[in-house]
Amino acid sequence: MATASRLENLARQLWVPAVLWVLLLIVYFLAQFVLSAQYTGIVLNLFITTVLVLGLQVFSGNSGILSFGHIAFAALGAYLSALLTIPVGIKRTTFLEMPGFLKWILDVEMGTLSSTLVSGLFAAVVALIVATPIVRLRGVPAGIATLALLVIVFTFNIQTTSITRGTSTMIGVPATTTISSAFLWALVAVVVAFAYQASRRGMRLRASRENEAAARSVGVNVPFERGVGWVLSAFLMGVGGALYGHYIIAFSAGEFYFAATFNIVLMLVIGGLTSVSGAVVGVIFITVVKEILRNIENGALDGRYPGLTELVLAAILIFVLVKRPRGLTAGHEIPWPRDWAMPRWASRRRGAAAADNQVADVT
Amino acid sequence: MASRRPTSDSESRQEHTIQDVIQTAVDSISYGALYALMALSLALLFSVMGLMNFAYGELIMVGGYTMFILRDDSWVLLLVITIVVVTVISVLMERIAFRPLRDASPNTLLVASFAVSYGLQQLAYMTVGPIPKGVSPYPWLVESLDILGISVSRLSIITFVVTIALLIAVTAGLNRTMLGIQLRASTEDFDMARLVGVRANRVIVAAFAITGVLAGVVALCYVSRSGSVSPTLGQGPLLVAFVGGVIGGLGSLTGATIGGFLLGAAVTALQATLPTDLSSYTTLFAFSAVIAILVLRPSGLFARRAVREA
Amino acid sequence: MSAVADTPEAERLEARGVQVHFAGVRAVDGVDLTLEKGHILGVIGPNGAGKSTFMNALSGFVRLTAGTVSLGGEDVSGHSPQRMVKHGLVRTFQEVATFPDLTVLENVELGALGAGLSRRKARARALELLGDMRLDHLSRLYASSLPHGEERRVGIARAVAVAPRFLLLDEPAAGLNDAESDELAQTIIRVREDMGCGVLLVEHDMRVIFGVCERIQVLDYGKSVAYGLPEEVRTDRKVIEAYLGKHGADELVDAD
Ligand SMILES: Nc1ncnc2c1ncn2[C@@H]1O[C@H](COP(=O)(O)OP(=O)(O)OP(=O)(O)O)[C@@H](O)[C@H]1O
Ligand SMILES: [Mg+2]
Repeated sequence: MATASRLENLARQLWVPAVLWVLLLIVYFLAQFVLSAQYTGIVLNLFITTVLVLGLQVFSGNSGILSFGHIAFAALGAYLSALLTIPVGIKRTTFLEMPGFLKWILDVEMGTLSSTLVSGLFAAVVALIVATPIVRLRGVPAGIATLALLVIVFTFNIQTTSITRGTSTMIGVPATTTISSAFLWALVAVVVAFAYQASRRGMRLRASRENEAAARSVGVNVPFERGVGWVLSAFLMGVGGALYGHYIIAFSAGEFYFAATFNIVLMLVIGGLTSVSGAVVGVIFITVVKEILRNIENGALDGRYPGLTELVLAAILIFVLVKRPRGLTAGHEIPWPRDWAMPRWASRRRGAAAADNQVADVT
Repeated sequence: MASRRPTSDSESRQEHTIQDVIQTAVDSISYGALYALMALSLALLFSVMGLMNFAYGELIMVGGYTMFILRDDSWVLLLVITIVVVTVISVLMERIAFRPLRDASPNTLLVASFAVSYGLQQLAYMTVGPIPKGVSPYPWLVESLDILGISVSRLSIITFVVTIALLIAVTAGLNRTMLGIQLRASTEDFDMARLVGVRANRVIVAAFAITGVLAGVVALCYVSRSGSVSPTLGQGPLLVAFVGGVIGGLGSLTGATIGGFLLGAAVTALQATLPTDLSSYTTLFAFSAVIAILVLRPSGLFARRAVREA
Repeated sequence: MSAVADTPEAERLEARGVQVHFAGVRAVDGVDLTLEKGHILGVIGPNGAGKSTFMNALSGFVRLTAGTVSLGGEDVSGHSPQRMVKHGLVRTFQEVATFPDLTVLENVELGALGAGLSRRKARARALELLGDMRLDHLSRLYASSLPHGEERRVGIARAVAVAPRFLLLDEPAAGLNDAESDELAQTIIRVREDMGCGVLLVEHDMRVIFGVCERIQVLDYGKSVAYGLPEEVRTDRKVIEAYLGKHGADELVDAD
């Protein structure tokens, strides 16, 4: 390749994260300078959700295994970061029955940034511990195993009231997640997810998604690569959970269960499971549609039909899936401007072995 | 034994516990059979079109509300209309949401079924509201029957008889009728079945209709027992049937049915015997066991053993 | 098999008495095979003869019921596919050519990574290979958007990028037209020349088989029924029987 194109190559590499950054930046500016204050919370939530959906994308997008367990890692992150940051005075009076091995946490009072990072690491370590069974599975059994993980962590959180307060909400969690910090974390998550996807490891995991046997035939150790993606994605989920905890402040175990799981899974699949762009687009799309519908419901319809928003949302989701079964981005990254005209989508059915993960877009 | 004659009080208590054990056993078996029906339905849809239908629970919810609306009418009417309504909704589901996604990946199908499930729940919230509605079963249903001196609820017996009859009917239908044979061929290898001339639309609509009828019957039995309906009614039983089916092997109709039966029976027995809050840590171990089973036998405990790859 | 005895053991892929049984089906039933580095060996046989299963057995994709596989004198029976790749044994698949949702460049890069190269070197190697195979103008496309013939060649480029000592190709010409098959045959010969690797070619397209193979081995019902030079195999009665049945073979011989 000519030297002139070296610059182009570099630009191509940075193109996708740059576009996504700009997209998030626009949302940030809208919230800060254009939209009324009532939208601050919504946009803040959007940024946190971006971190969570990207976390899910790192594993599910690259491995092709849809995980229903990732919210469990967010729960772990939220609880740990809360326990590390609640003022010591409140902790001593609230967590009277803290088990011995965790007593030390009553005397700790960390800053939010460090507690967020620690929470991410903690989620990653837990992920590492449970990785062994999960990474051996694929398809529906893998989905069920992750679902089982969600149920296990939820049950633990509900039952272990001495640590988590169970169904009661946390008390004294510092409200440190601001729209700016959530925004910055979303930017970081974009870079992490993209760098991983483009990396050697990410590429190998994607190969296993396309065809496990063929991946093995070029030396890919599939369970290992899945494990790497699993742990990295758990880190992002832990961070996202911590951010969420410091935003909601008074959260309980129920916050991290089926509803939250379906929410991020929907956003990812609607946006396009297999691309980082898809994760970001999915979050923005669903948030915006929800808000528009809610405005109509409360404004023009004057709240006469409660639940209409959700019903129409469900219909829109099905419509989008029918029109674009692989999501709004078709599971591809936002293409380089001059590549728009390139054939990007298969117009024929691919090999039966790959059928699990593919759809003919043009029928 | 004979040396000490028990007082009449302890005698009655003892009888009472035997009575309980038998009632629990009958309940477990009959509701296990109910879950088996659900697991069979899920497996049928899964093997024919790769769809893990999360909206299946909402069919039961729809059935429940139909029963609520018809609660004062004659039981024949209630029975027939409930089954018809649920079947129609099931077929509509296929027509509107799943047919356009025929060739989509399982992940896409799964998420579409979330959306359908969510939409139906919201529809229920909008129309009848979030508060559970009571559907008190006909008095003669809950009466106890005396069998060999032991009284067992008539509902349990009916549930058992009906579900077993249906399981037999479905099995026979799948093995004997032309449509059934086409269906079974499709569950083995859908693409191949298409190649040899099985009409995809017919088979899939049939699968949805059959599973709709089954869901209608499940709704009748389940709601008669629980006595109330709410928008999220279907989620609990769906999860049990789903996990049971996967443990048994969703790729095989028999395997899934057995898995659904065993898990359903176990859950029913646990609910009856353990205090509810204690059963929660049981959940924790139960789901750890689920993971272990999946790792050891990913295609299910009772599925035909897949050829082992190295 | 005098030619075989000349090469040192280190240069050979050897299978001895390989059996693979599936629940009663004897898909491979005691096959011996020797592939030398730098040679092209064709494996032919009717549908269901066990060719793919045999290749699976050689490359670690299926458990051996009995027998041994050795690579360069080292027993590698029962090794995982990844370890086989480390030993320099790489295979392609009958149905699948590429990772459809990865770009052509990424496909070939994955092969190069499989050879243990660094990311940068892997990319350089992939670009070079694509250039050699005149596929470089496609490098940014998704593999799924390629025409069938080119997709097949990308699949071979991916395997070649691993720098195999032994390359196992399962029906690489399936679905190709004559011109594409000829191009493929040229590619195989060139790969052997450039890399000096041994090639095991399972193929139904006899033009390709007779165009490139130095030796041919014939499988039928899981057993090896013939081995030899292309001309010998072409006229071997057992081979004709395998393809046409006993009756067909009689007719053919009568007609001669
Ligand atoms: N995983 C399996 N389980 C059971 N039987 C199998 C399996 N794989 C292959 N077989 C059987 O083993 C035999 C050999 O199949 P194989 O695919 O190896 O044949 P082949 O020579 O490659 O045929 P073709 O030319 O059609 O590709 C066939 O009878 C096949 O049905
Ligand atoms: Mg073959």
